[in-house]
Amino acid sequence: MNNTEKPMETNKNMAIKLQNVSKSFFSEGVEKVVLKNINLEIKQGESYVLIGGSGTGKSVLIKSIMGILDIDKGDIFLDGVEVSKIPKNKRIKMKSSIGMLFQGGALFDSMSVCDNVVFGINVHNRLSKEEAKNIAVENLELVGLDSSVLSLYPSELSGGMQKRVAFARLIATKPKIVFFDEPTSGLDPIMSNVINDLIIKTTKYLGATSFTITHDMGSAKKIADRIGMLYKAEIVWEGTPNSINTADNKTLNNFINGIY
Amino acid sequence: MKFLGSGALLKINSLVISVGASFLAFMESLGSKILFMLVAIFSVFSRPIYFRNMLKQFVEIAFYSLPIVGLTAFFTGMVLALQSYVGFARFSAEGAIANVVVVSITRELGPVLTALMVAGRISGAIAAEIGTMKVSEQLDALYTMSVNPIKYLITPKIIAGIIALPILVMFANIIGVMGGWLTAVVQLDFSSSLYLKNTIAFVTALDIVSGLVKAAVFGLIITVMGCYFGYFSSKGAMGVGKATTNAVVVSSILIFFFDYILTVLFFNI
Repeated sequence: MNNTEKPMETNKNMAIKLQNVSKSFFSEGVEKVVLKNINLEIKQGESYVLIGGSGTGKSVLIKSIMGILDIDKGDIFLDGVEVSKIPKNKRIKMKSSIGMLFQGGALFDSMSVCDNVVFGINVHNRLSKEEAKNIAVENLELVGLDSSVLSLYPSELSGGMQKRVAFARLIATKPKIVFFDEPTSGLDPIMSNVINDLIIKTTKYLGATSFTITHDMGSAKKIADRIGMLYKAEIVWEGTPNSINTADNKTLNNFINGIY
Repeated sequence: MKFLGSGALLKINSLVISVGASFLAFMESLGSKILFMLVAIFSVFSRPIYFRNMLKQFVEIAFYSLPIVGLTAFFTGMVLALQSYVGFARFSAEGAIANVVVVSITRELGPVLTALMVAGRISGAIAAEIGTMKVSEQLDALYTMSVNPIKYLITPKIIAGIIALPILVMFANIIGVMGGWLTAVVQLDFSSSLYLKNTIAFVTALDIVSGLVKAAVFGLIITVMGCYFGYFSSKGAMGVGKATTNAVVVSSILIFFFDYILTVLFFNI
């Protein structure tokens, strides 16, 4: 797919819509184009997975959609609202329906598992200790953990458990759009499978739209309704998980087969 | 400029360029620090205000700094009394020790030494905490949960620093004067009541107020520098380490610089 500049109309049933999104970084006066006229539409309830090599700008794209990074050009719509035109301080208040699972979990070191899980709720509406505990237990159970971890701190958990706690924190706020940044990176194949199942289960439970970035092909095929490939700042291929092995795209085939 | 060769002109040209570039970099750095500070401080005037975080930071800065600040002030007061005694004995002016100790402590040594001790303890710790949170994407995680990291993390630290430092300096003043008193009475055979009477009679409101205002400014510097270097630290352990060092070094230099400026302003020198 070639990403030439083409205007798109706002569509209400699109959970995520990008129009000609571009982003560059400058290092010592040299411009590095990371995203070039990206156009993308993800329907409500769809699971979209973006694949691509390390350093191709997948994380930049997800952080640009979230508003963590500012884009240079283009428009971003979330649930029909053009969020890219909203100032950052106002945009931050609109995030209650959006959640993100970070690559390393990004759990708060200074807080217990219980406080981490309920943080997104507690920070806006203070909960009693009993309410916080109940919400934390309920969400931890959804990710296969029990109440024995409630009082532990992130440093006392394994990598897989940290990811699961981060999952519990994500679903506690019941977001309608969820972003997964390399959800299986650094995990063994069994734990990767557990996380893949959790992604399918939790997005179904929440009825959410999901946008995942990964370079784990097994994970992509398992969780995606649609897969896109980012290469040299552009989305060069899009298709279903079934069509990926028969795709006539050299860049994609090289990536899948590990040819460089 | 016929007397200069083309080689010399090129050297002057590159010198001017490098001086100009350094000046611009300095102004950019200064501007971004001031902007960062203003954004963080003005955030306190809009909701939500995280009072719990403020209280937690206040306890961290004020309460846990009490031992080190107290110890520093106590020994400073004792040494000051001894040194003043040795110096004043040459003019037979030993009686002025109480006056010198109280003025030195309240105007200068209390605020500056307290600020330096707190800068070492707090500024680096703040930079390391925020830098680590940035590296491990915890700041981004706050943002994704509709929490402004500046309001949630940085504003409480700065407000706590502005309030905590004057309280610590009041404490340091009392302990420092007591250190001087102890040395004067126990070691130098001064009359206890006379020493205290001289101390109270000589100290003025301006001595104390100027010290407390300095302390508030130092509290602002320490916390802003810690937060700034942590927030803008580069990735990796090295980036966080560098941020920590910069926070302590820059806040210490700024403490001395603003001490001079405030002294000139307060005492119309």
